[in-house]
Amino acid sequence: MKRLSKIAFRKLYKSRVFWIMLVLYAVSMSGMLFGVEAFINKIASNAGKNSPIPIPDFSLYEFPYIWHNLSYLAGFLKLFPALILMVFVAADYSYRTNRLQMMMGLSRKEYFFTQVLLVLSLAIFSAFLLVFWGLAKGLVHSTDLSASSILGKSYFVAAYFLEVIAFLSFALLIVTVLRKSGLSIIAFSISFIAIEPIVRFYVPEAVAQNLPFKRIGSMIDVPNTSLMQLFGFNFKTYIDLWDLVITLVYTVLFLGLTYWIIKRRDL
Amino acid sequence: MTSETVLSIQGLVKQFGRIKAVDSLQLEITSGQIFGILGPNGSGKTTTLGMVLGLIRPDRGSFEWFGKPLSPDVLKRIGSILETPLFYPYLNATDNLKIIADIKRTKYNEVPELLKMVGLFERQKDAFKTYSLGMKQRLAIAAAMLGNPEVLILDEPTNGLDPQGIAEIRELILQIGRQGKTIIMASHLLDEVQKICTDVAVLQKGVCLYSGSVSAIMSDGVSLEISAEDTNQLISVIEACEWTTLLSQNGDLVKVKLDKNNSPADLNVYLVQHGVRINHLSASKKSLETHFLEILKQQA
Repeated sequence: MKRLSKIAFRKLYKSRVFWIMLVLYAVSMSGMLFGVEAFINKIASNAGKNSPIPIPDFSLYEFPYIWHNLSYLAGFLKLFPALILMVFVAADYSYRTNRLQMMMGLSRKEYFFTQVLLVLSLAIFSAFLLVFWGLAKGLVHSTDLSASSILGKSYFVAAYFLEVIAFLSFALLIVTVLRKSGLSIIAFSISFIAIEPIVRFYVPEAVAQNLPFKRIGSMIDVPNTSLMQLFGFNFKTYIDLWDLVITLVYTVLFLGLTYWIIKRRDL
Repeated sequence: MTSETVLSIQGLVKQFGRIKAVDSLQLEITSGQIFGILGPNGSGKTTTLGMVLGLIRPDRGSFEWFGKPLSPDVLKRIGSILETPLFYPYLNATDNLKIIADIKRTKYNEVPELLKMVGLFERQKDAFKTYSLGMKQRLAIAAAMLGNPEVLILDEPTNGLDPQGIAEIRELILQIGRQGKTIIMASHLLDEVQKICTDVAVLQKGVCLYSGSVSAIMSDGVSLEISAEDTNQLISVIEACEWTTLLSQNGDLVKVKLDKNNSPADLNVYLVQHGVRINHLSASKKSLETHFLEILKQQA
C-alpha cells in the first residue's frame, strides 16, 4: 500500500500542473461554500423589492442543515477533480510510462490500484474541503452548538464522498477507454451535460431515473430551504437507501470495467 | 560457468489484424549469452520482446523465464528497454529512477551509483525533457539496471543516436555484458550485432530464419572479394567450381563465398590453375551481412 502510493504520487507532487489544478479547485470550492449565502440573500433581497410577499433572509449555515446545503453545492464542482484525474491518468498513456512501469514489474492489478488510490485521494480532498468549510461556517453561524446538532445530518458528507467516487470512477473508465486527455475530457463532459439528459428524455421514466449521472446526482437532493418552501417545493431531506445502493453498484461496475480493460489490453 | 536456460519460447504467435507479426517462434536463450535478435523493421522483434515481457498477449504459444511462467517476481530479474525511453518529462533523473526503484522494491541508494555508471550524475537534478536523446537512452539503461537484474533486454538501443552516442551505448552494453549478465538485444543493424553479440536469431515477417552462434555463422565458409584482369573469365571459372558460390558482382569486384572445407589459399591456387590472374583478394569484413542477405535470399 505504501509502495503503491509512492508510485502513484511521486509523479504528481513534483508536477506544477497538478498543484495549479488542485489549488484552483480548492479556491473555487472555498469561494463557493464561503460566499453562497451572501450571494443568495442578495438575489433574494433584490427579488423581494418587487415581490408582493416579503422574502425573508435565511441562513444556509445553520447546523445541522449546513451539511445538506453545502454537500449539495459542492456536488456542482465535482467535474473539477474528474478533470484532474483524467489529465494525469491520460499522461501515463501519452508518455507511455505505464508501459515502462509494467515491464519493470508493476502488475496490471497494482497499476489499477494506483489509479483507484488517486480516485480515493481526490474524493478525500473534496470531502475535506466540505468538512472544513462546514465546520468553520457552522460554528460561526449556528446558535445550537450541541454535538447532536453539529453531527446531525453529517451523513450527507459521506453521501457526497460516495458521489465523488462514483463520478470519478466513470471518468476513470472513460479515460481508460480513450487514453487521450483532451478527448476524454470532451467525451466525459458531453456525456454528463448532454448525452445522458437527452437519453433520459427518450427512454421510459423508470430507466431514465436510473441512468448513472441522474442517480449519482440525485442522491443529495436540492435542500429544502425556507426559500424553496416559499415556492411550495418539497425535496428529499434524507439520503435514500436505494440511491445509495445504485450509486454503489455503478461505482463497482465502472471500476470493474476499467480493471477488465487494463487487464486485457496490449500496451 | 554452467549455462542454464534463461528464456525459452515455444511456438509464439501474434496476429495484428491480417498481419502475422510473430509466427510460431521458437527460441532458446541461455545464461551468459549476448543474444541478438536481428531483422528488418517490422519483422516482429519488438512484438516478440513485448510478449515475453507481458505487455502484449500472445495469440498462441508459450514462453518461460528461468523455467517459470511470467510474474512480477520474474520481471524483477529482468531489466528492459523497449524502443524509445519512456519517462515523466517534468521529473528529474533521480525521481524517475525512484519510481522504478519502488516498482522493483529496491533501495534508492542504487540510484546515484547507476547515474554515475551511465554518466548522468552531474545532470541528475535536471528534468528529463532537457536531456539529449543519448542521455535519455542512457537513463533508460540505468532504469533497466536497477535491482541488479540477471537479464537485460535492449530493443534498438542505438536507434536515432549520433556516432558518439552509439559508441557510448555500445561500450556500456559490453561493460554490462562483462559483468556476466545475459543480454538480449534486438537490432536491425548487422554491424551492431556482429560487434556485440555472441548468438543471433534472424527474423523476417515474424518467422525465425536462422538461430545460432555468431562465430558459427562467421566460420561457416568465408566470403571473399576478388577482382581479376578479366572479370568475365573470373566469373565463369568460379561458377564452374564446386566449392564456391558467386554472391554478387559490383563492377570489377566479385563477391564469392567458400564452403567450410576450403581456404582462400585453395581458391588462389585454383584460379591460377585455370589461368585467372587476380589483382585483388580480400576476406570480406561484413561477412555477417553477407550471411544475412543470403539467409533472406534463400527464403525469398
